[in-house]
Amino acid sequence: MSTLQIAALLLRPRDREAVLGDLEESNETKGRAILEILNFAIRQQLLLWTNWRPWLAAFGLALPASFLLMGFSVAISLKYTTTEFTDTRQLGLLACQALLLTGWAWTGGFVVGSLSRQTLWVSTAAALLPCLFCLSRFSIESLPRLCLLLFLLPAVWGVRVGFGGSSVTRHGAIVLAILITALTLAARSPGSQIQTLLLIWPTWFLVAKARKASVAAMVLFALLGVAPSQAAATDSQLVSRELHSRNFSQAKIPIDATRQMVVYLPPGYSASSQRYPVIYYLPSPFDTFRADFDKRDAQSLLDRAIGTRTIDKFIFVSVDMTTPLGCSWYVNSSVTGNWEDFMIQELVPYIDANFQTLPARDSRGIAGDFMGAYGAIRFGMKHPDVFGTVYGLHPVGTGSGVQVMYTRPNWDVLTNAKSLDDVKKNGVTTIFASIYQAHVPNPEKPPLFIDLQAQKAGDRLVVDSAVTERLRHNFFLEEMIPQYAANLKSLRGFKFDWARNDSNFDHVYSNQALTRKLNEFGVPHEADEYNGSWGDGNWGPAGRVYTDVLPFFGRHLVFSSR
Amino acid sequence: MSLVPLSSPAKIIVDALADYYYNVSIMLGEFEYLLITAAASLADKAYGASIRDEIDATTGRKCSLGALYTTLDRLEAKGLVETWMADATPQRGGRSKRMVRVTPKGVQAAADFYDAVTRVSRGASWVAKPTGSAS
Repeated sequence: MSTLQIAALLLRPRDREAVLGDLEESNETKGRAILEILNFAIRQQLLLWTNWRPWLAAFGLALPASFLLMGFSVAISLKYTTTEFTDTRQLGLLACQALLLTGWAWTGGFVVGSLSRQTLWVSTAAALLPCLFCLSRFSIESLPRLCLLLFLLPAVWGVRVGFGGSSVTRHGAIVLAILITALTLAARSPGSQIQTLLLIWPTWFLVAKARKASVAAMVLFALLGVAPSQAAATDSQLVSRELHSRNFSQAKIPIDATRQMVVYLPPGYSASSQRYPVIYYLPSPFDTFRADFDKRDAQSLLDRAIGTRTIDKFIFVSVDMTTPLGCSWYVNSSVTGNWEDFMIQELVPYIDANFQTLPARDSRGIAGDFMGAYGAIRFGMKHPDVFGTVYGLHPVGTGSGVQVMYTRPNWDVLTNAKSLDDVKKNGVTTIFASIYQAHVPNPEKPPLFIDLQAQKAGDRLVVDSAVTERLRHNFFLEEMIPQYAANLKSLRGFKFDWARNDSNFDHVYSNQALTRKLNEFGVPHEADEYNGSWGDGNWGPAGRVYTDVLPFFGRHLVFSSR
Repeated sequence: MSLVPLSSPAKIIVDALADYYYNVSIMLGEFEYLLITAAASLADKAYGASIRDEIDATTGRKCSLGALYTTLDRLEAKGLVETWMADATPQRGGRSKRMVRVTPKGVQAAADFYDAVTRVSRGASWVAKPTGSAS
């Protein structure tokens, strides 16, 4: 056997095999190889001491108990020499003391054994050093020296059982603990209460070990009383609210004036009076306003972002701003109602009045997805005094792209529709009808109440320049930049992104044009084209909300009133 | 940190305590991250010696086997990697390899670490400015 193999005995068998193989493979010199093994062995020993158990076993129990039990061993030995064996009372007392010594030593040994494991050698040394010290100083002539070590026999037995990983049954442990405690108190052996406590605690430790951990935890919680209710209060909450608006009474199409929203309140919200910034969220109108919470577990993701300090605690409001045809486009329209006013005059004041918000633009952000992103950027343009930070996830309606807009909808449908339902049969046409209702409304023209950008004349399509100009001016964010550049420049943070592989390339080209035009006007902003398709897992842990939106708000929102 | 290969016992003690404090108490540590990343890139060829060589090749510093295996134990206890003993090969003197595979949880932890480092580094003087933003 080489010195290397001998050194390797310090390691556990599995480590030994792997390390010797690795050393052989990397052709280390013998000296270096031995150093590597020693390094490993030292690290392993040290790591054991990062736990409280070996410290308690060696220095909290083995060392002091060794002193006490030696003293008690001598006391019993002396008692033995003076006991009249005909006196049953004295005999009984001696038996009791012997039993007590055995109990203390055994339970102490058991606890040391089960706590020490791989550091047992240190615990053993801690117990034996006092023994050597006392043996060398022993000076009672009537007793043999080995009397000092009476306690060792039951102690070693206890260590063996404890080290073997046995656990005591709960009933056994309780009986043992009560017995030893009663005997200890009855015996009133000389020594302070601290000494008594030191000898008794291992037996109660056994009881605790015998119980199931969860039971122990429940008892602990029951004792603390408030702990479980405290724990519940620290979770985040999702509350549903509705707000009755006055902004839709003039609408020409049926709009529910009671608007729904879902509000995310961060962990610890109800337990504190702290005020939080608010992120308003405009979801894609293709799904319900709470689908991100109901189907995509947005709550966990927001919790996670707060938990990882991606962002400090915040309130998150997702609100329904849809019309019968889909999107309201977040504007005041003589046909669909005053959505912009609803947001600025009603929703934001409602949230500030009903939740613990930081009611200032620096602590208010707005984000949205797809058409919602359009809305977020539009609100940032028009109301930078309300929303200080803006993030748009894959905005649409930012510009004209490459396809000519009037070629997209079905003009037969738009011209001849008898009701809103006639339009809804065609998906793309529905979207365009919602655009026209928002941006070129005409309250005099039922049932769609829109000005037509183009009209069929036989097979030909005749484009109305005036309506087209009005549409472009009202609708495209790109067209709005000159007017609102100063507002955009005043934002604390402004970012949008888009997926490169949206099958509608117009969205990609429009966003590329938008960022360039913002640069032309010197508007600071971030704009990311990422590799993906629109809507791909925005709400997963690798989605844009977690990787980009929340960190962005984390950097730009103000999280305290100071 | 633990990359210092072989030195005085005092250094080893300080290293071990620092490792413990950072890696157990706070988050995935620098060395744990290096180890997971090396193991992930080696895929089914990840084991003690190959991971050590990979870390050596990318950082220019050779870690001790002790640091490597104790960290591996910790990562395994945290469920971030799985390890198992594979077949013996002749160039290892007939000894088995301890093979390593990064678990999905490990991948997530590494991604979180990368995320945190990237985030905390934003705006630091040694980080290249992002392109495309208007000034």
